[in-house]
Parts: sequence; C-alpha cells; structure tokens
Amino acid sequence: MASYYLIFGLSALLWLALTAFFYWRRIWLLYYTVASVGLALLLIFGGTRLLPLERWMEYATAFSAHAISTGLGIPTRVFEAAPGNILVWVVVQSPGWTVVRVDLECSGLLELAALTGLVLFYPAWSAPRRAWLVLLGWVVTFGANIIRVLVIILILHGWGKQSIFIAHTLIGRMVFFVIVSGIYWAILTRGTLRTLQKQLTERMLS
Amino acid sequence: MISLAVYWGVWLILPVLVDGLAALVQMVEVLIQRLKRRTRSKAAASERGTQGLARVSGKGVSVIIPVYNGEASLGRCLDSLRHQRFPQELIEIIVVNNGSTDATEAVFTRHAARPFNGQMHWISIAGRGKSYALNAGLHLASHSYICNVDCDTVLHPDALRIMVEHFEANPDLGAATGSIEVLPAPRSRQQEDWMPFLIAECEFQEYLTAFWLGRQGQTLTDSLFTLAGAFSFFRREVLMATLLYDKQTVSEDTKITLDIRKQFAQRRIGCLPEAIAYVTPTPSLGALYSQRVRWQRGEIEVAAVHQDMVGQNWLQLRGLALGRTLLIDHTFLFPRLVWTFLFPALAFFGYPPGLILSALLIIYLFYMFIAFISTGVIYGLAAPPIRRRLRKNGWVVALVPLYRMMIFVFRLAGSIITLTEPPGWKVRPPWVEIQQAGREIWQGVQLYWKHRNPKKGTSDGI
Repeated sequence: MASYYLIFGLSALLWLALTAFFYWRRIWLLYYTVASVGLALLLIFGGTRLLPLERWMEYATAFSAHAISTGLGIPTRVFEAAPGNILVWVVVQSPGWTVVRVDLECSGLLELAALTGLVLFYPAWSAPRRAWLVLLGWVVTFGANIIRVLVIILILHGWGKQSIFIAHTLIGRMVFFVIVSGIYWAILTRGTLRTLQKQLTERMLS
Repeated sequence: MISLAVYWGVWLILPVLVDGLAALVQMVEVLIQRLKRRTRSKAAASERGTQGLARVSGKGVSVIIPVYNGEASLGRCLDSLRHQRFPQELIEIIVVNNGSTDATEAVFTRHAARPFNGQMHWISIAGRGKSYALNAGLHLASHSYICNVDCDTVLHPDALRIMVEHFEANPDLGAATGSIEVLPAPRSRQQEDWMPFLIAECEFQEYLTAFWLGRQGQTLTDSLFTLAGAFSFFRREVLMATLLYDKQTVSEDTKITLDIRKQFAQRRIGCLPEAIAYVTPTPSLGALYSQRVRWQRGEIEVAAVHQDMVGQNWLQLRGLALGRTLLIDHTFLFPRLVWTFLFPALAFFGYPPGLILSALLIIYLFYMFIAFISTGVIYGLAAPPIRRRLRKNGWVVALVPLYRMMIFVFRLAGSIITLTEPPGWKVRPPWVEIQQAGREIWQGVQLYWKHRNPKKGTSDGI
C-alpha cells in the first residue's frame, strides 16, 4: 500500500511538472494530452488502488439499477455481501436467477475519469465554468451508465442468460457509447462553437 | 485469449465502426453515382458534337490565381492553363499578386509574352490575404464561369472542358470542385530521406479517397462540405450573390461553400473527380502539421459562424449534416485521445498485456482493411496512371492507419490551438517548440553558470 502512495505521489509530481512546463511554453497539444490523460490515469489509479472509489461506484450503480428495474417491474436483487453483484430474474426458457457483476468498466469510473481530464483542462472556458461542467458531466455520465446496466438487465430478463454477450458486449456498450458521445458533443463541441462565435465576432469588430 | 481480445476489442472497435460504416456508405454511393453518370454521359456524348458544349454555348471561364511569392510554381500553373483542350479565346486568366517579394511578376511577364489567344491580367494588392486577392480577381472577371486555382496547382489539360461541359449539362449545379491529385515527391528529396516519399504517397492515397469516394459520395447526397481551394469552379451569378470571400475564418473555401448552400437551397454543389488538378506533396512533417492545424481551425471556425446549420439534417441521408460532420471531426477526437493512452495503461490495472496487444492489433488490421478496400474501389474507377502508381506503391496501404493516427493528433492540436492562439498561416509543430524550449533553457543555464563563475566565464570568453 505504501508503495502505491509513493508511485502515486511521484507520478502526480511528474504530471504537474510536465503540465506546467507545456502550459508555460504554450505547447498546447502536449499540454492538453499530458494534463487530461495524466489526470484520468491518476484518478483511475487513485480510485482503484488508494481509495475504494471503484467499489463505491459499483455499489452506487448496482443499487440505482436495482431500484429503477424494480420500479419498472423487473425483479432484481443486490447481493448483501457483495453489492457489486446484481441478481436478475430470467423468465425465458428456464426461469431462474442470473448474476450480473458490475466491474471496473460497468462502474463508469473509467469514463468519469476520462471526462474529468478532458473537460477540466479544455482551454475554452474559465476554471469555475470547467469545474461546473465536470460536475454536470459526472451526473449525466453516471446516468448513462445506469441506462447501460438497465439495458443489459432488460435483455437478460427477456431473452435469458445466453444473451449476455449481445446484451453486455454489443448492445450495452453501443447504448453507452451513443449517450457518452452525446455528452462530449454537448459539452465540448457545442460549447466550443458558442465560445468561438463570440471570439470571431470580436475579431471582426476589432 | 482470442475471445477476450474480441470482448475488449469490440469496445474499441465501436468508434472504428463509425469510420468503417462511413467508408462503406461512401463506396456504395460512389458506385451508384458511377452508374448514373455512365448512363448520362452516353446520352450527352450523342448530343455533343466534336466542338463540345463550351464552344456551342460560347460561355467562357475566368481563372483567378491568387499568388504570394510563387516564382517557383506560377509558370507551371500558367503553362497548364495555356495547354487546356478548351477554346483559348474563352479563357481569361487573372493573376492577383498578394504582396509578393520575389520574382513572381517577372515570371508572369515572361509567360504573358507567349502565344495565347485568351486574355491574361495581372493585378497587385498590398498583401491583404487570399480572401482579398480572390475578391479582387472576382471584380475583374468577365466570363460566365469562375475558376479559382492556387498558383502551385497544375490543371489536367481536360480540366476546364470537363467542368464547363458538366455545368452546361446540369443547370442546377451552382459550384463544383475538381479532384486534387498529389504528385510524387521530387526525386532529389526522395534521395535525401524517405520521409517526403512516405508523406507524398500517404497524401496521394488520402486525397484519392477524399475525392473519389468522400466528396463524390457527398455529391450524390448533396452534402459536400468543402470546395477545394486549389481548384474550384462556380457559376458567376452564384458566387457574386454571396457576400464574397472574407477573413472572418481561416478557411475561406469552406466558408464560401456553406454561404452558397445557405443562399441557394435549390442549387447543387458537387465534385467532378475526372476534372483533375495536380498539387505538389507537403514537403515535411512540420508543413503537414501546420496545414492540418489550419484546416481543423477553419472547419470549427466556419461551423461556429454557421451555427444555425449545425442542427440541420441530423437524421437525413440527403443534405449537409454539419452536426454529424463535427461529431466525427471534432467530438470523437477527445474520447479517442484518452482511450489511446488508457487502453494500453489497463495493463497496469490487472488486464493481461497479451489481450491488450491483441485488441490493438485487431483495430490496426481493421483500419488497414478499410484502407485496402477503399483503394481497391478507387483502383477500379481510376485512370491508368493512377492505377500504375497504386500498383507500384500499394504497400503504403499498410501504413495508412498510422498516417490516419498522425492526422488525428494534428487535428486535435488544431482544435486546441484554435482556442488558445490567434490565427496564422504557419504553426510550429510541438517537436520544434520543444527543441526551441530546450535551447532557451540550456542558454539560461549557461548564463546562470557564467554569472555564478565570472572568472571562468571571462577566461573562456578571452
């Protein structure tokens, strides 16, 4: 554990130094790459090795998906001993329970870390605005992840456990990919266009 | 291991599928376009006499060439115009000097003295930029068609004839772009090092795909986004009805394309890949970086100016869907950036390195497959010289995924620089910036050392 703290500390120092250097020299490609990717990696490392962030995310995802699916009339249970695991009631062919494990990928931690780095260092807006956008992004990305898990539950409930590959690997990921692309589009692309329009108008007037 | 690689590979292949699907759609569109045109050209050929439609209609072309320090290239451009298989008396060449400081004017004067039945004009503006130069040329132009050509471009002898005939046969066509073909790297540079050769051949394949598949497919769905600045063709009345070129964005060619789209909903904008213009390849990686940063900046700036078009046609097959274009050219840059690094880093979080390498290999092969199929389709459509070059250097297809990756990085840089730096024609690549920073830091260290040890510094100086 102590070695993890050492690795994290040294990596964070190196990341800070490089980010500051590229910012100071206005080498924007490397600044943005190092800053955003570096922060994402540090967050994932910290969240999986130093803090039980991954586990919290798995709990939150499992309990939220369970609450919503129950509300929708799809019976699910969460393992008390290991809340990252959801039991889904399967009705097709041979009725029974299927266990769905919410792992690192389905916890949404990777996507949240990526979004944090990309938005926090995107040089289009002031720091408070970027921080606010990150918070907003977290909420929406977490919601997108719940939708992904619900889609998987829905398919398993309807078509049985043999549909796990299609449900998780193909459709679940596709749904998540589409929603996350929408989030990036709304925050980064649409936001950039609005900011640039102002800059271009000011440039024309000057 | 294979099933695991597929399991994770699918996650990464999702964005790849976007490219794959786009390539597939383009290929189908081009084949349909090809069939349509073959039917039409048979009918047109029977109507057309030996004189061609241009001579029958009597409509001429004003060719506008903005030039800045083009002494090395202007001569070849003018020669290619004098050798057009199109009535010379219907050609008007207007060279607009944009503040050149070299012998460009002497080159023009020499060529103006050569036999030519058309008209040649030279005007000078005081280095106010390409947009001003194009507008100045437009005000002088007197013919029904306007053709904008860069001074480092050489037109195929049939380029103007094909354009005019196509415009005469299609009254709803408002503007069109020819296809741009990248010439091989000069032999002298090839011998110095292999990089110019690789850049030239990758650009050659990239441009072939962009014009023979991309823009031709966009023509079928009437969604063409950019008329190539190097060779574009307009009906005079269409161009003159816009607010002309302006300096609001760095991409005057994309801006004018969208201006025309907005103003003339009933006019089509298309690509004629048979009307060919040749350009020299980008000489170095630094120049390629600078060019792609400028292109990316231009695209985002033009979209910002035309924000009302961003929400249009999202789910329609016909018409320009600016939002969809931005999704691929801008939005996807960001998750791609993070996942490019995050995916290999998963090895540190307990995922087997073999699995990660396998997934990366699958993705590379997938992109190679797309490039191979695209090149194959183009090979089937293209003229013998293009086929010969594709046969000779076909192995470059294996490097196309790497080239695309590099272009992705350059585009990303363009997206960031657009927000942080004022516009400029040339941008220094990061590797040059780092060298510069290293030199300055080293000089700083040396100065500090001399200051700390003045005696040693003095004796060294003496």
